[in-house]
Amino acid sequence: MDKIQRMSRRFRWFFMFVFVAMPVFCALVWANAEVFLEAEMSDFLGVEMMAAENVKNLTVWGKVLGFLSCMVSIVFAMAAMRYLAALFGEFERGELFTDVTVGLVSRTGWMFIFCEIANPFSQALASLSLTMNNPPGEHMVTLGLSDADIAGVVLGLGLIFAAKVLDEARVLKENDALTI
Amino acid sequence: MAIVVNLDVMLARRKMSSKELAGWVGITPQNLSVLKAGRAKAVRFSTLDTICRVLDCQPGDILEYRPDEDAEQ
Repeated sequence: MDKIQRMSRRFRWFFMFVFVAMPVFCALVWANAEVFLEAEMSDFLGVEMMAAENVKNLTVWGKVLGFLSCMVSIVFAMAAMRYLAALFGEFERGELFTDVTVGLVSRTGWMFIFCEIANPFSQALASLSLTMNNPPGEHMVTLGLSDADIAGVVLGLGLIFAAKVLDEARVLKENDALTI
Repeated sequence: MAIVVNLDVMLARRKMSSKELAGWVGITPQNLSVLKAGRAKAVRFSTLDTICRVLDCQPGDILEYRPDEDAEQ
């Protein structure tokens, strides 16, 4: 149990760090969008190469809107990180099979799914933000679906199923506690 | 649940306290309280065996089936 508690404490801090780092990293990337565009690293901006290659005049407002566009999907990923931090907090307290842990695993799964659902919208808005100052007729809205998106949905579904299994364990544990 | 635990009756007959019985049976007073209050989900045969031996009684003396009126209807 001590090992579980020690590892849980580390994971809790890790996921809290990721929760805070995600929006900060996104802001830093968009603040330096030109660097990433020139280096052909448009993935960091959450847009397809096609949009990245057609950016004519990226202003501060374009960057701000691009950051906000990415936050549409990142906010769900942040929520997932927050739930994971809370889950490992529960494990650290020795609470393994409870209503709370079951709920946290389930909600984390749903957040991963919502993040992937929001991703295409986020991508479309980000590409529009990048090209909003282009001459008329050269604005772009791109949409893409990658294997990472599908993996995110599969991961979310897996977590939701894992929550159901955890719930069964919770019921068994409660029955065992009330077996004299 | 329709199973009623009549431990209090047997404890009174044997002039034994709950704490004393818990000690003899090897369970915590809290668990014995759960059993007496009818909140237990299950009782191990080993526990029932020890209780009957300590109280010198039959399982039927401490366990009674009292069907719910709603279930009967």
